[in-house]
Parts: sequence; C-alpha cells; structure tokens
Amino acid sequence: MLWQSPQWLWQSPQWLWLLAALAIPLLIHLLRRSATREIPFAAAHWLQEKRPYRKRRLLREKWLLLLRMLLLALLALLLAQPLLQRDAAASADTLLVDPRIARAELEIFLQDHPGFRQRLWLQPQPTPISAARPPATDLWKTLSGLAAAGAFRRAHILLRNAENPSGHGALSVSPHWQWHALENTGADDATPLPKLALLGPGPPWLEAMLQQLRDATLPQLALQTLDTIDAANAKAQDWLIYDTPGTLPGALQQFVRDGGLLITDQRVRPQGTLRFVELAGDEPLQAAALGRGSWLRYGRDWHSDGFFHRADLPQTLWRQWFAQDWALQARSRGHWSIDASPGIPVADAAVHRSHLAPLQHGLLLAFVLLLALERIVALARPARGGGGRD
Amino acid sequence: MQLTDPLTLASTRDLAWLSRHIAEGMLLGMQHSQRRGAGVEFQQYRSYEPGDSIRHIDWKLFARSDRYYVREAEQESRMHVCIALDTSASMAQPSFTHPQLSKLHYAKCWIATLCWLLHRQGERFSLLALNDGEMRHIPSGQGEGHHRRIALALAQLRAAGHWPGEAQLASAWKLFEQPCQVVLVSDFFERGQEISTFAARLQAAGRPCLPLQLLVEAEETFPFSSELKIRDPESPAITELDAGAQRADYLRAFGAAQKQLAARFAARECPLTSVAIERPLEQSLRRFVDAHSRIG
Repeated sequence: MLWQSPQWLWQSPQWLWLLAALAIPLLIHLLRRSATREIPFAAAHWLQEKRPYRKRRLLREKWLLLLRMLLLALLALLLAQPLLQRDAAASADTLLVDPRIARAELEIFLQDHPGFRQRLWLQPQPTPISAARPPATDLWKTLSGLAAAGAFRRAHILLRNAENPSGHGALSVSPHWQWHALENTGADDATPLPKLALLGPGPPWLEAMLQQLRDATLPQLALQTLDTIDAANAKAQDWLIYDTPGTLPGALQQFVRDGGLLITDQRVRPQGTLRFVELAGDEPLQAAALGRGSWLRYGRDWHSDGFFHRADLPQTLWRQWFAQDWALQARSRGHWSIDASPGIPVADAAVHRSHLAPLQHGLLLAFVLLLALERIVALARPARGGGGRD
Repeated sequence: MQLTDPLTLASTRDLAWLSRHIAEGMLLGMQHSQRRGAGVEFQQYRSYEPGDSIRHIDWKLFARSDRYYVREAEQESRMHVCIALDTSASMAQPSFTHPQLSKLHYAKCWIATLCWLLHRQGERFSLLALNDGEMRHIPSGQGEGHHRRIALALAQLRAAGHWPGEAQLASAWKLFEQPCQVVLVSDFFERGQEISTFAARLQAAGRPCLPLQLLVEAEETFPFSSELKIRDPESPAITELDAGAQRADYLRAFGAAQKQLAARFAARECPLTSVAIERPLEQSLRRFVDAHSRIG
C-alpha cells in the first residue's frame, strides 16, 4: 500500500517550536479552574448547589480545551509544512522521451510500441508529453539524476540518437532501464546544440535573435544566464556571450583556455596582447585562439544600430559563431552509446523509493473545520445562567 | 449633618469617642431639655460612682454629710434598655464593597452610639453579647463612665460559634428579670428559628424586644456572576456553584425568608429594622429610633 512506512519530513521544522504554545490554553484552563473565588457568605443557607449543570459545563470546557489545543497543534503543523513519504511503484510501462524528438517521429514510435501508460519528457522533473515541449537538457546529467528515482526505476527511455555526447563526471544509470533510439547511427548528422550562456546584461537584441532562431530552425536552443564570473565553466557552457566593457577577467580567459567560445564586441580588451586574426566577411570580426578555445570579437560596438538593424542578423550571427569549429569540437568530444552504456548501475538499495507528498491541503481543511467546530462549541453557551466566562 | 462613611467606621479605633461624635452630631440642634435626675419622682439616694454626672450630685446633702450622693428616680431604677448582641460567627461577615467593615464592627459602633443617645437622655442601659462560646454581660448603669465601660467591652468582642442553645440561654434569662426593653442586634440568619423564638419569649415575658437586622448589600443583591466557592462561616461545608445561574433562585429564596421574618416581628408589634452596613450609621439609627418612637 501507499502508506507502508510513513515517515515525516518537515520543510520548515523551526515552526515545530510553536508546539510549545500548546501550554498556553492548558495553563489558562488550569489557572481558571483554580482561580474560583472563595468568599465567606453568611447567607449561604439560601443557596443550593446544582451539580449536574456544573458537570455539563466542565465537560464542555474540556471539549473546548481539547479543540483549542488541537487547533494550535494543527497551526504549528501547517507552518512546519510536513511532507509525507510515500512509496513510489516502479512501473515498466513508463516511457521517458528525449525532448529533441519531433512529434511525428514519436507518433510512429508509439504506434510500433503500444502499451506505455505513462509518457513523459525526459527531464530532471519529467512532465507528461501532452505538456509543452521542454528545452533540450543535458542527457548525461538528467539520466544520472533519474537513475536513483524509484518511480523511473524500470522505465523505457527513448533517445533521438543512440550515441550522445558524454558529460563530465560519472553517469549513473538504472540497470533496469530499457533503451530505445530512433537512429542508431550516432550523432554525425545532427550536431548537438552548444550550451549558450550569457554573463551579465546582454545586448538588447540577443533575446529577440534567439527567439527568431528558435522559431526558425533550432527549437531546442536555450540561453543560460550566469550571475558571477566564477560561474563560467567550460564544462557547463560551450559558448559565452560577454558584454561588459573593459579588460577581460582572468576567469573568462581560463574559460576560453578550457575550450569554450567567448563572444564579445570591440569594447572588451584582452589582458596583455593576443594575436587576433581578421575574418573575412562584410562585418569586421576577428578571432583569437587561446588554449583549446577561441575568442570571437566583433569590430564594432554591437549596441550600435548599424550592427543589429539587419533582417538577417540571427542567421548571420549563428553562422559566424557556428563556424568556430563547433561541429568539430562537438564531434571530438566523448560519446556514449546506449548499446554500451558507460554508466555505473545504481544498486536497488540506493534507490529512494519514495516521493514526498505535501499535506498542506488536508491540514488546511482540517484546521478550518476544527475552527468552525470550536466556534460553534464556544458560542453555543447555555441560554440560562448568562454569566458564563469565555 | 455630615454622614459617617463605612471607611471611617472601619478605621476608627476609639469606639467611645466615635459613638459620642456620631451621636452628638445627631443631637445637634435638638433642645437640650434637661430631664434632670431622669425621673421626676424621687426614690432614694445612692452614693456617687465614677461615671455619674456631677449634675446629679445632691450638693445640699454633700454640705451636710461631706459625702457625694446622687438622687435616683423610681422609674429609672426599674426600667433600663438591655442591648443584646448576637456574636455568632456569621456576624463576622465583611462587606464586599468595604472589606474592612464587618457586620460585627458596624454593630459595635451602632450600639455604642445608641448607648450615648440613651445616656444623653439619662436612660440606663446594659449590654449582653451572646454566642455559644461565651456570654458577656455588662450590668445596667448610666452615665458617661458606663458608656465607656460598654464601649470597652464592645471593642473586645469577637465573632465565633453559633447562637447559644437552650441550656446556655437559661443563665441569660435571669438577666431579664428586671423590667427592661431589649434591643436585639443580629443578622437573624437562623438555622432553625432560634433567634426568633428568643425574641418571642422576651416579648411574652413582657420585655419589649426591638430587633435590628444587619445585612451586607451583597446579601440583598447577590452581585456575583462567576464560579464561586462559598464558605458558610457557621458550617464547615464549602459550596461550589455558578453564581450567575443561582442568582435568581437565591434572590427569591432570600426575599421570601426576609418577608417571613419581618412578618413574624410585625405580628408582635415590634417591627424589624433591616440595615445594610454600607449605609451611614446615622440613617440606620434614625430609622430604628423612628420605628420605635418609645425610645427616641
């Protein structure tokens, strides 16, 4: 069953201190009970006790106390945001689809392989394929992340190519995965898209240009935005657009040396001297080789109208950037094939078979219901007597 | 006339002075009709005792005999006012608005003041304080010194125990052999009808009994609304109750009991004067005196 071993996790456990507030209604109750005033009253002869009424009242107060403590406890729980671990069943009728696969190709595949109940995009957090197509992700990383997820332990994985560029670090896989690929030939005709990144505020035309490229030919193109210079890493990004005038920082120089492509305009100057080679074309453009990578530098300020007021800007720029040996670089990188997966199998024991279900809605509902109940009990005081305390 | 407030009553130690002050205030403007000798008919001489007014000394006799003699009238020697004070534990009931003032304390002030008024009229008066533990009696006398004696005795009284039983009362009956009027000061909260019976027996013996009932305001209005533990000073039990729910029942029962008590005394032609101790002492004394114009 789903509830096999419920184990509580808290998103903000500091709120559990609020449980100490349970003492407040308890204290009030105790203090009130003992605070019954004692008076000497010589005319007590004309008073008579009415026990049953008092007992009923005490019972009601106990109920109120219980309800109020429950309310407080629920409030603390709500704020602490509990997560209930539930076991996830590893089903074999799950299909994880590489987002690069076109819709038509997928339909054909599904006709050949019916019987997949759950069809998801292959992503760090898989979404159903009825949802919008997500941008292409790093297969290497994504697969490593999913290898330990219990729900996808026995999934079928459909890739576009049997051979894919390998990443840095180790690949983890589930030994129960079943691999499919649309093309067994490898990645020769389809060069993988470079991982494009932007450091700092980019030129204003960049977003529009990428959008045009996505609409036209490269739907998977994604732009990563880096916040700090230190985030630039040739392992994580292929191309880096840098738009801050001044001397090139050392970290970026290291990025180029490690094999990245740096794209700037004339306002960025190198540390020391670099031998730039003028490239042919109608646009003044120069390139310099630095370590394993290169630096592409535009001869004009790319903020000027003359630079970007052109209809063919996206295609021109893409061609210029792509021409910097990207195809060769991509091909020369390591590849892995689904036939001989280099991954390290994740043992069954290491799989966390559970996913966490938030309980907020149920708790909130219970809180509102209890609050209503408490109000009803508190306000439905007996009509007689009149002088009750609250 | 400036009335005495409960705080003054509660905080003044000197009962003699206080009562004299209140009584003189009440007498202000009244004719000082000298009822010299208190009684027109001469009966006998008696030797002077401290406390007797100098005015009553027969100076001619002093000149003859070199001794002080006081003239006494026949009427006085026989008739006096005996003030009977119930000192059972219920009389310790304090006021709820002025917790310093209890029924007993009010009664002491009231009695002392009455005694001064009696003294100013030349009447004789005695004091009998009763509970089942002890019985304090000050024999009848007159004059300022006697008033002082009474005030002193009053100041020493403590409230404890119950109204005395039949056997204990037997010794008290001897005190009423002389003709007297009895002023009975109590709260008249009886377990049976013991206090009423006492008054009825006095009445039957030809000793007019003038009752004064002392209450606190809370007993008449029951202004409580919360959970209460109620301790009856004359019984060990503690009653726990919801005062708000009990209020109507209590007021009905108490009102009925009061009406019954008043009716019982009215039937014997000595109306009951009920006084809340939060009211000024002058008012209650005036009401009492007006109700029994024979004294006033």
